[in-house]
Amino acid sequence: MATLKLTNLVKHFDDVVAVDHIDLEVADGEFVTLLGPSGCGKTTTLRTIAGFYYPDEGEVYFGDRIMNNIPPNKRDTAMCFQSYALFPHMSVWDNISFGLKMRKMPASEQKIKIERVMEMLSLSELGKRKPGQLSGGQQQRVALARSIVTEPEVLLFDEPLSNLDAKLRVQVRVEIREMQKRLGITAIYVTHDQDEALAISDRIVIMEQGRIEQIGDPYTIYRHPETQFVAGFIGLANIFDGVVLEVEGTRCTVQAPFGNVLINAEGQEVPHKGATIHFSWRPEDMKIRDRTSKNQITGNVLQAVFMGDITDLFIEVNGYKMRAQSDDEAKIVAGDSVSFGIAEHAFSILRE
Amino acid sequence: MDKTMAMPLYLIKKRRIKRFYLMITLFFVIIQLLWVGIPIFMAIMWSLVNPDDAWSYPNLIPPSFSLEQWRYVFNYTNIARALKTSYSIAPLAVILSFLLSLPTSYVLGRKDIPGKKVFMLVVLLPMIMPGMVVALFLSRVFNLMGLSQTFLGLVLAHTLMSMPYMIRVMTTSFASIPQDVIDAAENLGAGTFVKIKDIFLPMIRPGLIAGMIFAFTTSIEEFNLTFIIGTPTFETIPTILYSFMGYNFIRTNASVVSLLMMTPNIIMLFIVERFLKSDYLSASLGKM
Repeated sequence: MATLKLTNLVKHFDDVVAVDHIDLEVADGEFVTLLGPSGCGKTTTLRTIAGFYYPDEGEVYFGDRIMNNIPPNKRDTAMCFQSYALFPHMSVWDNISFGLKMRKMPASEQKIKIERVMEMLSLSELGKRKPGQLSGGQQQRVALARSIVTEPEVLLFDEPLSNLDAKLRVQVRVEIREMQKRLGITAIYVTHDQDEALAISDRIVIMEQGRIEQIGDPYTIYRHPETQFVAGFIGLANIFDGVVLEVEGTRCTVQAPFGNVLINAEGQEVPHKGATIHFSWRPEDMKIRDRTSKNQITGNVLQAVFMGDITDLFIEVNGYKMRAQSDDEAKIVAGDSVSFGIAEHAFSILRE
Repeated sequence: MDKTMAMPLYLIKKRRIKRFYLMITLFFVIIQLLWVGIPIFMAIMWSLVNPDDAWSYPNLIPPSFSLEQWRYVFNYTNIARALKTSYSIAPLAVILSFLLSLPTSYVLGRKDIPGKKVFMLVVLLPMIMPGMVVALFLSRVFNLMGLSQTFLGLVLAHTLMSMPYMIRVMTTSFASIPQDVIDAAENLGAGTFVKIKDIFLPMIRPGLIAGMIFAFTTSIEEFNLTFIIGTPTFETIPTILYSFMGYNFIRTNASVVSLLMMTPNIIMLFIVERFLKSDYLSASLGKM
């Protein structure tokens, strides 16, 4: 168990910069998710931590040891692969014991550890089976067992759930999180699934084109995205440009294309008067028929998609399209004119 | 009531289609059996012909049987020694070609090297070149190196002929191992030696065994190189077999030698089949 630190990390593949000057510190026992679209450098970062790639610039630290030139088999990490990467010719038991054997642990001790891990992941009955005889979910759990049984300094997950069906995915991610908490192992988790990232992480690192866009806990990432990319990537967002007309403390009046809005930038960087800013808010921040909020918007419903608990609305306000959600019981159909209130704290001011 | 009457039409149709496929399969199986079976049957019959009681048209089987042909082959040819030579060369050639093919196949299967396709083609050339052509020119080289008429020369020649099969099959096996599995082993602490012993070798085992069978049968059947490089010092089963052909064509004796050559191969195949799952084998035997 250890802290993990990446400083100024750079990794090229020929002319392509996969990881572009990344700094990241992960506390002991913390669960950090690298989240981003494919090709954003998250997997490269993870594989650099595992030692499959050596960094071109910058350092990888476990605790205060520089790991840059240590080969993967000498690093105390354990990785869960997207493909599970189980050894097909070995039984479940042999798969799980592989890492312990490599560490030259006495057989009696191995037995205790393996039995405990198999019990935790309800694999006890499957010890003699080969991976080919297991379901996807079982294979996933064997892969998990194989990585945690060695009690590594750092646990690495490379999209471990993407081959499971939706229901199982939710179940296993809860298991992973519980297991990691119980063992207190530092974990780095790579995914492109934002729900997974929000549900499982202590902190989320949003990456795009080899750079870190934002680091924060799930709440902050969702409620206060700092860049246009983050706002657009996580959840749904209405993103607009506007000119700051008036600043009063943290409250700014912004002239947006569809009309003026009052933004309270409390906790965010307050823009200067006259500046052009990008800002965003979530569809669910548009409270239907809310007369008390400072910002009042009336729009025409272009399309209403009934989802059961909510209705997804595509609306038009003074010629500009935006998305809203209604949890109102009344049925809304295309063509309706609906008024919304948006709280002044609902907005995020975004960097480029 | 007739059962088919109660069945819905689509089920009857389905049944008919199923029966149709079964018939076709059966047809080809029977053809295959005849294809392989008739020559073996004929070889057995010919090897048992009684020299004093000629087998001629229109008899479907010889009028009487005797072991005279077998006695003749064992008494008047060097078949016993040839058997020994053949079955000494074959295992050595298999082992040597395994040792030489292992690193080659590893690189061809797992590494990105420039000119890999060309190299692959060169490795497989002996497979498509006429054996006699290879033999004629290789014998010249062997003469220069003093390897002609030596046991070592024969082992090397057989190794050369069996290597393309070995490399081909093992390259495919190496290439089919997912990189993730290798990475996982390394991630869990495996060094190079452990990776070879615990991951690569067990995972290429089906291909390896298939390659060995190929190499072994190639060696047992090899005629051209053996004939040019080895005879008259060394005789193998095929060179004796060929001596009963051509101008001195003696079908009865040739049948005896063919059976001697064929039987161990067939037995070996069955033994290996028991050790391996058959789908393993057919998967690895896929050529080009």
